Parts: sequence; structure tokens; C-alpha cells
Amino acid sequence: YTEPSAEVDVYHPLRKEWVELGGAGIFRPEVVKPLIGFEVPVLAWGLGLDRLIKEYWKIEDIRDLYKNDLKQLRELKIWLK
Amino acid sequence: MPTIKINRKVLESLIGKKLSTEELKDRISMIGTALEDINENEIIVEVFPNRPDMLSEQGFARALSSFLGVKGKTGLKKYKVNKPLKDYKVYVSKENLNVRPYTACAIVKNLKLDDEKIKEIIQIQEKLHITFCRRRKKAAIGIYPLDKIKLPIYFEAKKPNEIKFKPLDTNAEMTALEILEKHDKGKEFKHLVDGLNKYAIFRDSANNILSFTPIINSDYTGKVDESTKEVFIEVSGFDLRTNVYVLNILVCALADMSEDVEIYQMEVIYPTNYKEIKAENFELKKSKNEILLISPKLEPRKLKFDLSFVNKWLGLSLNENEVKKLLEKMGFGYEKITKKGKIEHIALIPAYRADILHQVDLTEDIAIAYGYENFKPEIPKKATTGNEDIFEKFKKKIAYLLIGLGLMETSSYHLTNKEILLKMNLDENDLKDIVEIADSKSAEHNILRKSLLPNLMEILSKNTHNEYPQNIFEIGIVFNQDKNEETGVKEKTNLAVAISDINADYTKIRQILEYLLNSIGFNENNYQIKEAEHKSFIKGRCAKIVLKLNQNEQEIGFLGEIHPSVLEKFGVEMPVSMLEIELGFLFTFIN
Repeated sequence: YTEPSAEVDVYHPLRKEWVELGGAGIFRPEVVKPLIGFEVPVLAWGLGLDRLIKEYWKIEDIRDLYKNDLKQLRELKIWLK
Repeated sequence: MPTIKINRKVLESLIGKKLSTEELKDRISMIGTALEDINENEIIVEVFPNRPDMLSEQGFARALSSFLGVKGKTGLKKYKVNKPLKDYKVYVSKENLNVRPYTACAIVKNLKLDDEKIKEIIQIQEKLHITFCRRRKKAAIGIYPLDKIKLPIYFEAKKPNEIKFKPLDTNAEMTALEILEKHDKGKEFKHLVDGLNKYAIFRDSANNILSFTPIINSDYTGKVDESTKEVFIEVSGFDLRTNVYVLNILVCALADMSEDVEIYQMEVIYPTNYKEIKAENFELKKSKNEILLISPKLEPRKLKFDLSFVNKWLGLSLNENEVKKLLEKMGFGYEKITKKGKIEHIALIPAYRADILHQVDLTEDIAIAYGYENFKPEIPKKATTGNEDIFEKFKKKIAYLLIGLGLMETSSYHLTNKEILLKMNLDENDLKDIVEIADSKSAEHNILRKSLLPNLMEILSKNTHNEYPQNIFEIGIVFNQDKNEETGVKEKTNLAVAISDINADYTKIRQILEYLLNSIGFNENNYQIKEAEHKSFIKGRCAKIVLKLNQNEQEIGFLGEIHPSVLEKFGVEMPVSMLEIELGFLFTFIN
């Protein structure tokens, strides 16, 4: 639903490959017009934060982010980072 | 998303030059496809769904060589289409309208097939079937050796027991019903003909069945091999637009296989009960007795575009000549005409490009041709300052207050399942206004949560091996059906707190509630806690939270001790007390 669309990739220095982090683009008029009543370019971007968070907190498995494991939550020293 | 396998030698011969791995890696990404893997022999790319025309080696090579600017291979590619010869006809029966209504057909000659090319044809068919054809629902492709067929052809709907032929790769004749029960393809695509009392077939003038569409071809008339020089192609299904584009994509790919390939049109003759029939870019000839569609039609479509719009959209200042070159790089043609003294810019869209609906689609292709890497990032001169949404700020404050009390914040999915609600002692009556997912693929996620309490219970049940006390909270959206909402679904932001410890009780959870409410300016003048009953809580240790609004009272939440039978169902051996409150409502009340 965006034209043109773009993808944001960052280079992962250890894995030596490009990792997709987010998408961006200008919304199509068919999306904009029904919502705001007239055509105007609306820019949008969105990042998937989970890959960044995973790297930052050295979490091995991305699914661990959504596990609500209370031991893991207790041990993450959020205030120290 | 679909990936296609490309033989590197085939690609290089189609493009007409050798390319280094580095150059291929770079150019394939910048044309808007994702490179999955590349080695000396093979390239695997992911093609995004808006470009079904790139799902073949030929289509991919066509787009890439134009993008690379290979001499003689940029700009609009012209395809010669020959008029239908005698008997190049397909008659559609009246009954098809309610069975499988549409078809678009062609004949292609002078194919020089070998093992590699047959593989390529199979890949195109497969990939188009999965993506653009929506797993054969919108359209299905059939390719038949012409020398086995007696023209003209009939597209008919027959009763299941009248359909009998030898399906592909079997040894004996089967009826349509046997095919659906026993043949692999029959079993796989059976759902597409569910509930029909007639099935669609193609048959020739010698009364041989060519195929039971969209299920399987005949072994005799529907098998293409290295000896095949001429083919009959049909695309049939529920959406004529899709049929037409699939046919165009297919015949253009075949035509790109070698220079001698010849494309012939066919006349598809629809009966007059097809009143609604419409085909993009086609003139249907309607007469008293029939509606005639001549396919394929490979002349380019014309789309007027506004040069200043393109420049505004992309932040560029391209002139006509530059835009012409960029369009040509993407395989389009360009024309400038003067109409009533005004200049009009026209893009010529190739017949295989199904995705160009609006000038923004052209604009994206112009951006790709210009090169995303060539856009210069600049900081806008006019800047506005962003602010955190006040409700988000409020939620953050609430979270800090609760963290101050030693609670931990959890975050769970909006999707959950009915089973969990039943474990909370709720019954069918409580599930009436639940938002359910139609055709959910997973039994674990089949409804949207109406309350946060079951989610917190679920979290506690998965943490029984961890240290206690376990005091947690969650702020999140809950959903219920509501006819007064535009979408039919009401969304609210709730807060839920759970404390689980050897001495967790009503008093402890009430202390948390009162601390919280007092901290954000509530007192006994505007809220009350009243005894109540709730199926998940112990009777007599449960209360509701009521806000006083002028003369009215508004119930905004519950608190209490969770019933032991609920704890047992979740496998939690520690007492649990909980509260849930409509945080969004509190916020609007304060403001």
C-alpha cells in the first residue's frame, strides 16, 4: 500500500550480512483518500524493534522476547544500560 | 513470498552478456527483488507479489536487461501477435457462468523445447498458480500439445459422472469423482469445486477431454514434452482480468524463449447470458447471439501521467527526456502528445504488467530506474517538533507507579483462545461479544482478548518454576463486539495487576488499587468499591470499581481473589489476587 516503497537494511558486522530492519514509503492515494478525504503525500516508516532489542540485550532466541519469563525480566538490568 | 530459481547461463544468454556476481547482487537488489542466494550456476530471488511478470527466467531477464541498459533491450518490447486462423475458436457454454466462468486462450507455435525449457515452463506455471492465481482459485493454467487436439475447443460444465478420462501420470480412466478422491491433484484442489453440481472441462472437437479445470489435465492431450512444437494455452477462472494477465505473462515468456516463436490469437465465444463480462483493455464484440473475446492482445496500454506530480512525489526535478529514459529503463514506452494546445505525457504499459493501476505505480518505477542509491537525503527546511502522545505519557506514569511498588511489566499478544476463557470459569454467555477470527490457522490464537486477566493467569501458569512473589501488571488493548462502532469492534485500553504469593489476598490487591487511584487524583468522592460477583473470583472476596459521574455510576473494573478452581486449571499452587480497570476511561475522566 505504499508507492514507492523502500526497505531499510543495516549491515550486521558479526554475521557479515544485511539485515532488514524496517519498511518505508508514501501511501497510495487509494489508502489516503478514504481516510482523510483528499489526496496528499503521506510518508510512513516503521521499524521492527525486536531485532535491535535482541542484539542489545544479548537475547539468543527472538521468541524469548515474548515469553514473559519472570526470571528473565527480573535479571535484565534495565536501569544499568 | 515466492522465490524463483534462475539458471545463470540461461539468464546470461537472455541478457546477452556475462555479469559478475557483485554486479548481479547489486542490480538484483536495486530493481526491487530480494536476492536469496547466488552461486556459479544458480540464482535464487524473491519476487514481490506486485510483479508476477518477473516470476519466470524470461520475465526476470527482460526486466533486468532493460534495467541494466543492455543495447537493444531497453524500452517497450514489442510482441508480434498473429490473427486467429480457421477454427482457432473456444466455445464457452451457458452453464459455465455459475461453475468456472471465464477463460482467455492462445496458440503458440515454433517452440523448440528441451528438458531445460520444459522445466522453465513448469516453474512459471507453478509460481503463477501459487501467487497471482491465488492457488488456482482466481485462475488456473492449462498447456496442451496442439498436434493431439482437434480444433475448435469447447469450455463446458458437465455433471461429475459424465466426466471420464485418463488424468496425467496415471494408467487408467477415472471419473471426476474418482479424481477428486484418489488423484493427488484431485485431493489437493478438491475444495475449489466443493458444492458444485457441475464441473468445468475443456474438450476438443473429437470429443476428447483436455482437462478437468482447475484440477488436472488429460494424460493423452495434456502432456507437453520435447517433441511438442505447438501448444494450445488456456487460462480459466473466476476473474477475467487475472486470466488475461496470466495469459499475457505466459505467452510473452514463451516468446522470449527463442526468436522463432509465433503467438496466435484465439476467438473465445461467450454466450449472451454473460451480461456482466468485462475485460480490462479489451474490446469485446457483443452481438445478438454471442460475446466475442479475442485473446491475447499484447499492444501496450496507455496511461497519462503528470510530470509535475512525479517530481513532487519523488522530490526531483526531472525533465521529459530524463523521464522518458527512466521509463524505458523499466520496460515502458513514452509518448508526448498535444491535445487542445496542452502537452500530455503518456506511458505505454506492456501487456504483462498487471500492477500499474495509477500514476503512483509509474512513479515508483521511475524511482527504481533513477536508483534509490541516487536520492540525496536532506533535512527538510520546515521542521515541526514531535511530542509524545498524552495518553502514552499517562500510561508510562501508571507503569512507573506500579514498578515503584515492585511489580514487573509484562506484554502479551492480543490474540488468545476460548479455552483460556473457559479455564477462567467463564461460560458461553460471557463469550457472546467476543471477536472471533474467521478460519484461524491456529487453535492457540482464535479470538481477540476481551480482558487482560486470562493473559496474566497464563503468564503465572508458565512461571510456576520461578521465584515468588510474582507481582506483575500489563497495560494493553482489549476488544469486544459493539454495533455502535464503525468497525463493529470496540477497543479499550485496560490495566490489569496480578499478585501471586503465599499471602496474596483481597487486602493486598485493594491497597495497590487505592494507592494507584489516589496517586492520580481520585478519592472517595469520585470512586467507590462495591461488593460484586465475578465467576473467576471467590464469592465474597470480589468487588467492582465504580466511578461516580454526576448522578450516574459507571462500572470500570473488578478486583478480588482468584477462585481456587481457576488456579487449579492453570496449575498455579500459590494464591492469586487480581484487578482489572479501564485505564482509557480513567484518563478521559481526569482530562
